[in-house]
Amino acid sequence: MKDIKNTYPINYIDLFKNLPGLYIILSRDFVIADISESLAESSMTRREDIIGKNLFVVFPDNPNNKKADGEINLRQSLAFVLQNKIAHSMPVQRYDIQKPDGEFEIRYWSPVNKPLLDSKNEVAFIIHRVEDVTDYVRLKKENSKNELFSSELESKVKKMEIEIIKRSKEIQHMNILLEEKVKERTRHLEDANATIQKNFSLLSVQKKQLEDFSNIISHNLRAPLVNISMLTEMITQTSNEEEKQFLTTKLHTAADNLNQIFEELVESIQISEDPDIPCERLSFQNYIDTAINGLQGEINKSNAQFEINITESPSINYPPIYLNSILHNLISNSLKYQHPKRSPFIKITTQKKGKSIVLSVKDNGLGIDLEKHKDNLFKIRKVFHNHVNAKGFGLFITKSQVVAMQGRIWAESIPEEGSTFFVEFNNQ
Amino acid sequence: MTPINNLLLVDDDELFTFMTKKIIEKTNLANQIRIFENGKLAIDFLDATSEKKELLPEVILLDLSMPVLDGWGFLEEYILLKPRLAKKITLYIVSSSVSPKDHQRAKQYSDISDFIIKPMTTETFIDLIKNLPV
Repeated sequence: MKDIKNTYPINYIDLFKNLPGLYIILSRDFVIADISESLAESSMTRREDIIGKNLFVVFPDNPNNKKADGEINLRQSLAFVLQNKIAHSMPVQRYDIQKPDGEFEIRYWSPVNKPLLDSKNEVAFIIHRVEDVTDYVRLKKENSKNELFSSELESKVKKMEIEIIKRSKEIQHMNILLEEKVKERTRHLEDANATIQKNFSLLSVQKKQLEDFSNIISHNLRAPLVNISMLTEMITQTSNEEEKQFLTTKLHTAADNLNQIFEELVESIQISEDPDIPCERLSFQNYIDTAINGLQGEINKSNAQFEINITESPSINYPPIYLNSILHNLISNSLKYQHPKRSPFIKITTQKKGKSIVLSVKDNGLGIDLEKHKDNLFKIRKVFHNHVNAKGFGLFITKSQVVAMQGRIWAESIPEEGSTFFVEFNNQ
Repeated sequence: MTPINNLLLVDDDELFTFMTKKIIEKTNLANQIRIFENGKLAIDFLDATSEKKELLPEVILLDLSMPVLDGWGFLEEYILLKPRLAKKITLYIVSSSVSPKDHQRAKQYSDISDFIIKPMTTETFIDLIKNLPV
């Protein structure tokens, strides 16, 4: 080994004192031979105070820390170095430092002990180098604390997440239940509404019927009754036998008249009271033929012509008696109110209108002033022409038979030109 | 009580007009009674005699339920005709109707003096003539 010629001579004492690392040079019996200023500062000692003192006197274990094992571990490491003459790195070690006021401060160190061998290859000194890792350990502890906290938090978050998912599932379930309930309620409400609507329209119909009936009693039943009572009084008051005879005949007529009106009313009431009358599939042609045959006398007399177009709706689902009566009354009216200057021409048509069938009976007769009479057209005992056979019953009973089956009847007419009666049969 | 000269009875019920005519005749309070079986015929008569004071009635007894032109229809045409009439006419409804609807409706016409519910009795008719506006 050759001595290296040094151009820049170094003061090794100053160098050691000022080393940036933390160093202690120990004798074989652990007396502090020297200490770097940075370690003295770090260990809150003074270099000149501790050089020459035993390491373990200067740096004793923290008596307040029952678990303190810094001294024993360091002794073992140093003994290992002495024995084996090789360096020994110690694991990070807590070794508390006594402050000037006597209190101990928690410190963590990462020490390395390395032998300095003499020419005889014997351990002359031990170089003890440490790094103050207190901040790091603290940080790590904080970190692990944080980590712990984090993991706690995480598990809490996870728990919360699970909880939230669970809750949201519950809410979802509840939502579905609610939705079903709402739907059910809505259905109930809709049903109730439909029932109310149905009852309302039924009530409206019944109210109308009641009004009509009150009207009938007021006008049609009361009038012949008044006549009868007047006649009876006159009969009792007269002493003239001939007049008495005459009045008695009138009384018979009045009673017959009352009876007839009464029978008509009974018939109409039976119609409105029998909404479940059975329907059958009926051919229009057959029923038109029957009606025409029944009126053959009138037809021959007036030389009436017919045009029938029922190809669009040749058949209908209806009570046979009603269809018979409706067709008879409408055709009979067309014949009855024929124009004196021309033969009746009667056009019978059926048409589809959605789920309904519309029957029309069009004539070229007298016509009706609907502006004046539309309110009374289908009322009992309402007549619009000076005709001997006008009784005001045909259209009244026809309307009853149409309305009883939820149908509709109306008319269009021009006076002197003719009338068209329409019947809409529903639910076909 | 002074009898009236002319009276119109507008009603399609022949039995009723027959009896009412008899009752009125017995009172000797109407010199002439004309009967029309619907509103149209009555209006036609008034239209034709509108300027003939001696033929126009002092009183009209009007039924409501009639063919061709009923009592309500008569009233509408009567209102139009009235300004041309040479005589003041007093108009009564004589109907078998006990329906409040008809009575309410009649109240809307200032031309209707009263609503008489059938039958027409001697007493009613005497009262009617007694209360005629002078």
